[in-house]
Amino acid sequence: MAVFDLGRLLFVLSEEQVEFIIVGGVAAALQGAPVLTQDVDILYRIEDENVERLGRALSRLHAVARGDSRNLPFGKSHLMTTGHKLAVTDAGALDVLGSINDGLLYDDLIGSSGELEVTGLRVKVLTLERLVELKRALGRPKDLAMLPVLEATLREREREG
Amino acid sequence: MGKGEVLIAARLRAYGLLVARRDSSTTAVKRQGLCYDPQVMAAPLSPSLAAIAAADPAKPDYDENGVDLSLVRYSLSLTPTQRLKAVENFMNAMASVRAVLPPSPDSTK
Repeated sequence: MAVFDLGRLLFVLSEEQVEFIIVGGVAAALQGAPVLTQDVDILYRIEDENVERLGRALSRLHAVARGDSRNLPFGKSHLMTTGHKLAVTDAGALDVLGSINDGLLYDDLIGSSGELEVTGLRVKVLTLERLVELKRALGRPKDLAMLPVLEATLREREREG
Repeated sequence: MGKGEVLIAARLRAYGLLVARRDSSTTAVKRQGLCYDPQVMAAPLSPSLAAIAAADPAKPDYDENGVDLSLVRYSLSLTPTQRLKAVENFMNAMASVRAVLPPSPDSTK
């Protein structure tokens, strides 16, 4: 049974200096939304050197394609694409995303991210406001289902000042 | 919690004994070393205590979409590291459950 260690997952990504933004459910949870998820979603910068750093981090985490019995690792050519790479690592399930919402890249969303200190690391996290916008735009049932909780969290956060 | 216990807990809250705690079961009361007189508990609440009871902080608080705002406030009170730990604990709990369940025939995860 895999033991999830999200602190280690973030530590390895940070130590390898991977440029990434935490998006999805973990981004919401880190900002105080009471949501639960079963994987970590990161949006990474598709750029030659960053992809090499990401490849090293994934190798250290023993990342292989999730749901594929061949346990295939992710090669550089694969990581240079904008698609979703769903991985299982020895620190937990990790969705390595080249783009989200039909083509939004790291550079498109870095301005909508903030830094949070998590387990002693400074990590970039997509803002709750932007996350709400993206989920609303996606319009899928699973995204819409999360919206009331995210919006309530935003309201409570504003109320608390 | 039975109906009687709910009433006892409500009265304890009204007397300010459990205002800061959401865990108001009889067991929790005993664990905290609190004791109460059944006659005092059976007495009608004074107007001032009734007002406190009406503003019961442990009363469920939902928004128009049914979102539990007490849970939102609790989550906001945590640090990002604590929130990450909560997610991690959930993931590990789910993994434990999956480990003892037979795989679904159409499962790919």
